[in-house]
Amino acid sequence: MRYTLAALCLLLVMAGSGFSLDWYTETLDNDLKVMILENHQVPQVNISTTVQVGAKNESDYYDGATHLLEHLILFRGTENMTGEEVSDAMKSHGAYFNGYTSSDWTDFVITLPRENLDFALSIHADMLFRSNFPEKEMAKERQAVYEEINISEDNPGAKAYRSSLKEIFGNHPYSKNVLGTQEKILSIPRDSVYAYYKRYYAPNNMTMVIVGDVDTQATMKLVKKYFADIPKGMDAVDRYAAPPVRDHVVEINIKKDIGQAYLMMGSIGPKADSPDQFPLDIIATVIGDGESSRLWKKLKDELGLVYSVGFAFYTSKYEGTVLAQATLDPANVDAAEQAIKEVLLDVKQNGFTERELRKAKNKLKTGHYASLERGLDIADKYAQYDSFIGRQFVDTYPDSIEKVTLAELNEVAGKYLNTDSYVKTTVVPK
Amino acid sequence: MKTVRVFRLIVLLAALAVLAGCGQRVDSISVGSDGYGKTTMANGITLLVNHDETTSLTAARILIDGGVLAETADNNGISNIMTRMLLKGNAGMSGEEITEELDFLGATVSAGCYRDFSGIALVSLTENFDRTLEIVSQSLLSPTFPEEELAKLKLEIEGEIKASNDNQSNASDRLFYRTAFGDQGYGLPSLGTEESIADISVDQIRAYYEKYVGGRNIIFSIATDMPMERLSTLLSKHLGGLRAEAQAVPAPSMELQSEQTGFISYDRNQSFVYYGNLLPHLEAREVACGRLINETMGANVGSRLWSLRQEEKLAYTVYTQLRTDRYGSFFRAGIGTDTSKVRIALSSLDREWKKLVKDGITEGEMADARVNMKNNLMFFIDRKSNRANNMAYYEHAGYGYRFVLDLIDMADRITLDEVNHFANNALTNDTRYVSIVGKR
Repeated sequence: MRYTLAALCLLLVMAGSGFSLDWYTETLDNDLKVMILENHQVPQVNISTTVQVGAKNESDYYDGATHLLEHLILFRGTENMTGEEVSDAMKSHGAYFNGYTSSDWTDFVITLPRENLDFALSIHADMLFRSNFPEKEMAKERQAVYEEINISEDNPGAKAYRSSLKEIFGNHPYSKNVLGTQEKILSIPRDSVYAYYKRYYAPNNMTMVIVGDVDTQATMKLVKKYFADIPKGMDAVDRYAAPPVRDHVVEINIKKDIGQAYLMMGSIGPKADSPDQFPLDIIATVIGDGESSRLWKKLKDELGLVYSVGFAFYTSKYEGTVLAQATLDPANVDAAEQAIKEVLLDVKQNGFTERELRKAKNKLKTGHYASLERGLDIADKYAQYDSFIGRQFVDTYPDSIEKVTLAELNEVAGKYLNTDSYVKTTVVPK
Repeated sequence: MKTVRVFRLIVLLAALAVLAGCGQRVDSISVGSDGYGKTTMANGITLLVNHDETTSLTAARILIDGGVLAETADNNGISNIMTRMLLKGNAGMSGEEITEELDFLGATVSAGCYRDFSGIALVSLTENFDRTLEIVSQSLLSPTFPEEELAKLKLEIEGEIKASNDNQSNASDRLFYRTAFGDQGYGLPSLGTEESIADISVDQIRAYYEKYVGGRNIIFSIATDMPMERLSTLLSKHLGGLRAEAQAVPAPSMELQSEQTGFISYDRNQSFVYYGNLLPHLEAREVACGRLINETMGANVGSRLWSLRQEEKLAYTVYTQLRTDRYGSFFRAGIGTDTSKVRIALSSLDREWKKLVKDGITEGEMADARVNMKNNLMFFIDRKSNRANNMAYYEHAGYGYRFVLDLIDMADRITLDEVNHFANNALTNDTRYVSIVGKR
C-alpha cells in the first residue's frame, strides 16, 4: 500500500513553537488567489474555494439568499449540465462535494481521487461561474432548505444560539439567521437570486486552496486553464452596521418539547483583526474549556447546578461573540446564571495564574496542530480564514498565542467579560 | 498521624512499583512496508501499531471488550460509567489532578461506551505522549472509583441522556435498536437510562472492573511518529503491569422482536425515520458488498435515495448507512422529513428497497460504487485518530486491524453477482425494522 509509505514526506514541522507548511501561492490576473500544498499522505486531492460572501452581505430583501444560492450552485445545474448531470459526473469520478455558508463566507469543497483533478477543476469552475438553476429546479431546492430550517428550529441548542445572536447583534449583519426564513426562501424570485450570484461570484472575491497528492506546477497549469479567463467582477461589499451598545441584561425565554434547559449568556467580542482575540481565546479556555476549567469546577463539580457548562469566543471578520452556555435542570437556571457571573467577576478581580496561562497555551496549540492533520481540513481552514483575515492568521496562530502575557489577559478580561450587560437566552421544557 | 502518612506513602510506593517495575516487556514492535503492525503483549493485550512520521502527533485507543453487551436492563450504563470512572482517580492522583494534568499537557483524552466495547481515546503531541499514557495507564491499572466522583458523573450522564433524547435522529437511532432487540443486548442504550444509572454503586463498578478489565479483553492501537524502539519501551513501562485475567464477555442473544415498527411522539416540525435491515455478523466480502450497495443507495449525492430529496421533495437529509459490529450489522436509511410526509417517505423507501432486492444494482452503478467506496474509505485513514480508532474497531469486530486497507483492495475485486446475491438474500422483509420519532 502506498498510502502510508508516501507519508514519509513531512508536512507539518512542529519544533517548539515553530510551525510551517510549504505553500505555493499565486494570484491570477483576475485576482483569484490560489494556494497549493503538496500532501502525499493519501492519493486524493482536496479543493476548497471560499467566496467572500455570507449573510453579512444580504439586505433584508435577500434574507437567506446566500445559503439558498450555495444549495443551487451545488445541486441545480449549470449552463452546461443539469443538476442531475452534475451529480452523476461527481459520482462517476468518486467525488465528495459539499458547501457551507456562514455570516462571513461561502465555501465549496471537492475531495476526489488525484487522477481526477482535471475534472474537479473543470466542474468547479462551471459551478462557481456558470450556474443557472432554472426556476423548476429551484422550486425543489426551496423545499429542501425549508426542511433544513425546520430541523434547525427543532434543535434546542441551535435555537438558543440563533436567538442569542439576533438580540446581541441588533442591526449588525451577524444578527441574521444564515438559513433565512421559510417565507423568504419560498418566495424570493429566481432572477433576484441569479442577480445576487452574478454580483458576488467573481474571482477577485475568492480564494482557492488545493491540498493533496498533486504536482504543484501541473496543478497550477490546470487552474489557469479553467480560471484565468474568468473576468474580474465588482468587489464584495459588506452591509456593516455597528452592534448595539448594551447597559443591561436582556432576557429571551423559549419553550419547546424537550427534556432539559439550555442557557446561553452572550455578548460582543473583538474583531478578527484585533490583537485582543488571542488573549480572549486563552481566557475562554481557562474559564470554560473542559473539566479543569473554572466554570466546570465551580458549577458542576462544586455546586452541582449543571449537566455541562462551557465558555467560548467565536472569531468572525467583524465583532466576535463571547458566549457562556450550559445544559441544566430548568429549576437551576437562575442559580447557574448567578454562579457564572461570580466566576467571571472573580476572574476580573483576581486575574489568572501562570499555570492557567501555560495550560491554555498548550491546549490551544495542540488543538491547532491537530486541526491541520488532514488535507480537507487544511484546505478548508486556510480558504476560510484567508477570506476574511488572511492565511497568515493560521500560520502565526501558535506564535500569537505563545506571546500572550498574564497582564494582557487581565486587561482583555476587563473589556469583554460582561456581568451586567449581556443577552440571557433560555430554552426550557414546555 | 505521622504513622498514617508513612503507611499511605508505603502503599503508594508499592502501587507505583507494580506500575513501573513489574512491566511485561514488549520485546519488539515491527511494522510492515505499509507502516502497520500487530503483536500481543505477554499479558494478552493486543497491540496494533501504525507508524507515520507525517505529523508530530500521537493518537491511541484503548478498547475494552464489553460495552452494552456486558450489561442487563438493570445495570444498563455500567460499562460507560466504569470506563469514565477510570479517569476519576487512581492510586497516585485524584480525578481533579488527572484532568488538570492532562489538560496541562494539551492532551485530549475521552472515555465512552459503544455497543460491544468501551474505550479511552487519546491524542497528544508525541513529545507529551509518554506522560499522557502514564497517567491513563495508572488509571487503567489502579482506579479508585471515588464515591463523590460517581455522583458528579451520574449528573453529567443524566444531562447527556436528556440531550440525546432532545435530538430526534439520536432518539430514532436508539428506538431502531430497541424495536429490533427489545431490552437485551444491542437493544440497550450505551449511556443507560436515567432510572438504570441511578442505582449503580461503586461496589458494582468495582466488580465490573475486576471481571472484565484485563489484558485479554484489551486492544491497544496507536498511530505515531515515535521510533518503534522507544514505543516498545514506553508500552512495556506503562501497560506491562496490567493483569492478563479477564472474563470473556458472553455472546448476546440476537433474537429479533416480532413487532417491526417503533414510534415515539415528539411535538416537533420534523419527524426522523430509520428504515432498514438487521443483519448477522457479515463475512469480510459481505461487508465489501454492503459498502458497495451503500454507495449506490445513499452514501453520496446522486445515489438512488437522493431522488427522495432532489425530485420528490421529501427531505433535506436522506442517506444510508452500513454498520458492522462484532455480533451483528445493519443496513438502513435515515430520513428527516416533514411530519405530513412520513407515509410518503416510507412508501418511497419501500419502493427503493424492493427494487434493490429484486433487480440489484447495474454495471454502471457498480463502477461508480467502486470509485466512491475507495474515495470514502480514505476518510477512515487520513488522520491518526481515525487510524487508531479503525484499527481497534475492526480488529475487535473480527475483521482484522488492516481491514480498511483490505476493503480498498476489495472494491475492485468484488463481482456484480456477489453484490446482487447479497442484496437479494440479506435485505429481506423479515429482518426489516422501522423507527419513527415525531408528531403523531
